[in-house]
Amino acid sequence: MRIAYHKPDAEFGEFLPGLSILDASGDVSGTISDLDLVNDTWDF
Amino acid sequence: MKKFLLAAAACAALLTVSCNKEIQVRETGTTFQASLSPLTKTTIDGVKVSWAAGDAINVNSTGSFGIEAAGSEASFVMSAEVTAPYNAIYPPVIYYGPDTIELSDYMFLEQVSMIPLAAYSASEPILHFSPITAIFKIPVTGADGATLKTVTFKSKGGEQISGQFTIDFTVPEITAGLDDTYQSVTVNCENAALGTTPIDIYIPVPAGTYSGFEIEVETSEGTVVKGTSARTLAVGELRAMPAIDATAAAPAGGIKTAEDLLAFAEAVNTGASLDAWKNADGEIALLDDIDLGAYSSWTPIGNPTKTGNGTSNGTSTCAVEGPSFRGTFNGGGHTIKNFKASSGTIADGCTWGLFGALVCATVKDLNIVCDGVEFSAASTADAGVLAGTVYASTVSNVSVTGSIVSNGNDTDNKRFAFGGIAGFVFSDDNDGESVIENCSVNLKVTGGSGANTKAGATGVQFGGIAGFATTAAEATAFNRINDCTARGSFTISVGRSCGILATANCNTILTGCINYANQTNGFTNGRIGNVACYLKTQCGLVNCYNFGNLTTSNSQTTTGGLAALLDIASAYIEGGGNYGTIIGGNTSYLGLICANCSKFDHISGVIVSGRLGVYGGDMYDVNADNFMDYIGKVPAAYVDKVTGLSYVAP
Repeated sequence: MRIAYHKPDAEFGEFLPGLSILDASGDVSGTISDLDLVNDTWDF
Repeated sequence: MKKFLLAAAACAALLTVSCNKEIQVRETGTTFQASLSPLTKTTIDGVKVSWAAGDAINVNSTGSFGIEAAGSEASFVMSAEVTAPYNAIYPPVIYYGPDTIELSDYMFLEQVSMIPLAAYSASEPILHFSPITAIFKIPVTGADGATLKTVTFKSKGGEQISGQFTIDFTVPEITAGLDDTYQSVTVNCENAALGTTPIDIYIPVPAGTYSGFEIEVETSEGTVVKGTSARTLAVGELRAMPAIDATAAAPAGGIKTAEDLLAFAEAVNTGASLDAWKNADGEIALLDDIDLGAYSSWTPIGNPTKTGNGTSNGTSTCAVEGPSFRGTFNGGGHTIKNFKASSGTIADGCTWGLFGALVCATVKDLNIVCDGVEFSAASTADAGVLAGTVYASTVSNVSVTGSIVSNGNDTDNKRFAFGGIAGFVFSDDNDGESVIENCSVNLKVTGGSGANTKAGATGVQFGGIAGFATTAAEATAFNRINDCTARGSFTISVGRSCGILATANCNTILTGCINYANQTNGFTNGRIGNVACYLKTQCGLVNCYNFGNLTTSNSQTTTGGLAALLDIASAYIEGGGNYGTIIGGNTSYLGLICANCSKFDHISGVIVSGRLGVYGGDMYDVNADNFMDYIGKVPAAYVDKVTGLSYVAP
């Protein structure tokens, strides 16, 4: 079995903004961390 | 946000009916999905990660609406009320349960920048998201006109990199183990156009230590494979890899550089495809000389975890466990030079060399120049400059020149066999015979036996070509060493040492081999010859010659021009002869042909020449009338089995 998601126009679809707008219950704020760069190489 | 909500409400009124079929109810929590653009994905600029317009999150199994604008901060409107504590995940579709996420093993190009994130807050609805995996960034370029089909990224050691993982939001941290059948991620690139501007593929990989990774990039032009050796990944690190030219010329079909050789060795040891190094005939092909001078350590090509290299007649086995080389290696007459690695202390039951174990393999037309290769063993072990173990394999037209140092064995009474070509040679009735033919060594060999004081099957033994050869006692297969030569100087102190093969234990025939090397051996109670040391069950020398000089200094060491010991009724020496000067410390077992011939089938047609003397004493006056007195110790019952010997004055 494969796990697939986020294919537009496929069975897995995409989040629908406003689909349940009447149930909206306020905001949650979110910030985001940066990544730590590691320059790597292919060995072969 | 108000403006967005109003617009979204209007949109929802239009879409609710048409999207009903796409509402998905999952086992834990309800999320609402439909086919709308834009896609939900993060924005990555170097190491900076930002929210992208349309991004949504999942908090406590409840989905949010997509945000309106990109940025480093965002305010998410939840589709239902959520209460503290807050367990948050991005992207929301990886949410699988209150403590479980699911990383896709199949994505589309549009989703490859979706960096899995998680956050936790005990009370305030303020969340700081951080990565929960490491990320591989893989730029892919290609010739104009080519298209990119798929990119498959997989772990080489079977480690889980997709599927379900347990998550602890408070760290946050994910743990593998829920389903380790997922060892790859495939990105469907839907024939995206390639060019000089790279397509960046981001693959989330859980933190941990991996045996390595391999990536297959499939284009309209074919498939290119790249990979890494072992890696340890930390959460939140971006592994920026060099761009892969997905339409680069097909692999050269051979080994051109030291890096190629290492990559080939790695592939053999990990079970990866060897196609990149094969020529049109399916052989691994060396295309140029290789300089290994930069490598002080070496992991053998085909590095088994155990070789089961039994030592004694009746119990001999050679069950190779773990990686081995099983193909054909065609050296093309090229030279691997500056091979100067140390074996380190070879573990019990293990083997070491340029190749570890050759199993049903062929190595041919190769030259090796070694420079102070050091051999050391912890216990029973084998080492060869070319190969530690040769099992049911053929080695032909291989030369080894340079120097070897033996540090011996850390354990007494455990066999350590080493040689210029091979340490241990084995033939098997089912898997086939081992043949070493037309090979040569020219070596300076120094060193000793370490803690091993023995000269029997469990001693340290060196042969210029090979250390120890045998089969199972009941076998009908034979080891064959044909037309090999040894030159150089051996200043050594081990229980058995010689130019060609130290121990022919069972079913092993040496034909047409010549030793020119000079040897000095100071071992106590050793068994020393200059072509072979010991010929045992169904073992023989056929037309083998010694032209090298041999000196042993210990009063207990047996010393013979061709061999030291024949004590089994099926052993024999046929043709050939000795032309070297043989000097030994043990006058009871000293001979121009064989020091101690207590039992044998026949010794026939051998030329007796050279000189014979006592270490620290005089040379014997050997001549045409008395030479039979100096061939070695032969019991009266076996004198009739010695026939057709002739004397040639030195």
